[in-house]
Amino acid sequence: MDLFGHLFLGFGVVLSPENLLFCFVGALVGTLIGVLPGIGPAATVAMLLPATFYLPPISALIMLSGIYYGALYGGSTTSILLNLPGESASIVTCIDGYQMAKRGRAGAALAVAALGSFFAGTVCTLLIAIASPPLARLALSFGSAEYFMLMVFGLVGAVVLAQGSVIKAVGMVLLGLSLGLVGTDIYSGEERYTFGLTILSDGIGFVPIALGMFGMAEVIGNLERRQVKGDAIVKIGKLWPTMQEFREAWPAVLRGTALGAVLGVLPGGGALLSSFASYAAEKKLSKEPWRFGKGAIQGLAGPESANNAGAQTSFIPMLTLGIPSNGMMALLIGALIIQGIAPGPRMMTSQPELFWGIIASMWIGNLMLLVINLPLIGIWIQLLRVPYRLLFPCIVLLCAIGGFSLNNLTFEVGIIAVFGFFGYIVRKMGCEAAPLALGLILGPMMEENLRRTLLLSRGDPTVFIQRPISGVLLAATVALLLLIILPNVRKTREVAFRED
Amino acid sequence: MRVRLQLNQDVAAGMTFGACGAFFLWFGRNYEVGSALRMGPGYLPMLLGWLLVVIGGVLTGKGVVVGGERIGGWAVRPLLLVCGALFLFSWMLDSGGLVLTGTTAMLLAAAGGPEFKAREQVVLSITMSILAAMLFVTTLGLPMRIWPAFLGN
Repeated sequence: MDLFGHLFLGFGVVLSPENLLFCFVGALVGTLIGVLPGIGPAATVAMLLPATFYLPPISALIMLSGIYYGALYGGSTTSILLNLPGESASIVTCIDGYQMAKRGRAGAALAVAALGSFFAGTVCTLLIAIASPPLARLALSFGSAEYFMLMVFGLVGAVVLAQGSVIKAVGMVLLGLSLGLVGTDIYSGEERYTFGLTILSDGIGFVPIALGMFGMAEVIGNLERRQVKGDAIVKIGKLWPTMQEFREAWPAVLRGTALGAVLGVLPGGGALLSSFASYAAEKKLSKEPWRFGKGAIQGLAGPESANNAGAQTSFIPMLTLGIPSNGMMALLIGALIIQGIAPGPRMMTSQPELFWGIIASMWIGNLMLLVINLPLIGIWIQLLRVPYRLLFPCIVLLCAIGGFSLNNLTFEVGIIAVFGFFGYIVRKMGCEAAPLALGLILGPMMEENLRRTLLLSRGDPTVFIQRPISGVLLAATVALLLLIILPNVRKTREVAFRED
Repeated sequence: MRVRLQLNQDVAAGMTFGACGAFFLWFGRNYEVGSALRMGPGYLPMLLGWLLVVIGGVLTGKGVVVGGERIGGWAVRPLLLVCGALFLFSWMLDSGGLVLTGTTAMLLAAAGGPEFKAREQVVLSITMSILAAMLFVTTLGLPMRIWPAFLGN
């Protein structure tokens, strides 16, 4: 009964004309950038962060979340029709989706992808609504020791499960944590690394760094290649899957949803990991593994459901604990902080409209996406014809204005330039921006909690073991670290991200 | 086993992390470190700085001994022009106003693009800058100058 009361409250919030509009805008923009290769959801959300300053918090969050899952829908469209992933979580969709399209089943592939995503979105919205209150209640009993260990666990998990080199991810996290130190130390009032600049005494802004590392670095990276082009666009054909396709697809949708829902909650998890894991699982479970790569519908239905499920459930730690599990969630927490809302377990009780509104908006948004994507697919394909040479100068201008608008300071635009430069250089060295964003968001919170814990325990570090929840988290962190050292786990991890 | 010195991805990343660590250590050297019981403002900066140096060292070592992927295909021109456009925007906006600054910055960035056709880029950047001024300054009330200061308004 409680659940329905909460969902009722949430739907009441979303169904206001204004919020419906922002939900639609988010879903639409998400689809748009999902279709366009060369601009990802993280860069878009970073670009729109300053604009959300002018919106009420709930509308801002509804719109930004819409961009995240909207991009997954849009990304699968280009994967299927052009063999071109519009977005990294759709890479595996290319494998079997495009093959299906080449056999004349493009319409069915699009329908299965959209319906599978919608199913996963519905299940996971319910899951978030059921799982969040007990988690938030548990988190309310957390002291600073538990919080600190939880953040350490989150960071370590994000590093272990992230794509690419572990050492580099650790380095980027440390760099993010160090950048988070800039500004006035809350305990002593001493200014750290401000070099006498008053502008820096509140710290380096998260938004300009995100705009530089995600937005500008991505633009520069795209300009390396002359032109992004996919294979020839295939005819869409009939939209409705056949009975046999339907029968083959639905168990994969169920498995993908379950797998994605679990992997999404883990730190470092989310859409990308879920889609890769689901493809590997479907291939292993199939009685006819040779069909994979030649247009097996399970290889499309599983990952498509999984990436949407993973995207949805990665909201759970963000909403209930205030801890981001991936780069995207770090950006959404940034949006909350801009609005002056402290993310954490108290959000559910102090801002119930916001909390339940976001959850309800996900279901509405998924429903909108189904409509946006299936009948309107032709329009999105047309968009691919906008040349990048005209698109990117506009992105640069929007980033510059966005950077300025946060505090009305031209200085922040300079910071975007510095981090765009730095972001591109570290990309070339194989380092990802997401771990840095996580470190930057968590750094100040971690320092505060660590110092408070040790102050309360009179400098006794065993407090982290003595408090049971903190001890369990510490053990889990150590276990994660040990896992990554084990050679066969390392191998599995590499395989999971490199699917042929 | 022969150790070949080449600047691969791992060596470069390792040296970058090491340099960043050294930067934080050097500029944080005067902050009071304190003890674990009463951490001073310098405790974590020192800890993180050293960790960065260690990670940088490990990564560099791995890159030298095991080798790593090569770094290739720098987009030098886009890198300099896009970042330059942002710096220009930051430096020029207060006196130049959004229309002139936006147009100049967009043209500069566009020059880093794949094919630069002067006429279409001039039209695009002027149109976008005026649209941006109308949307952000006139409608949303962002405190920005629209026209250059030397026009005397």
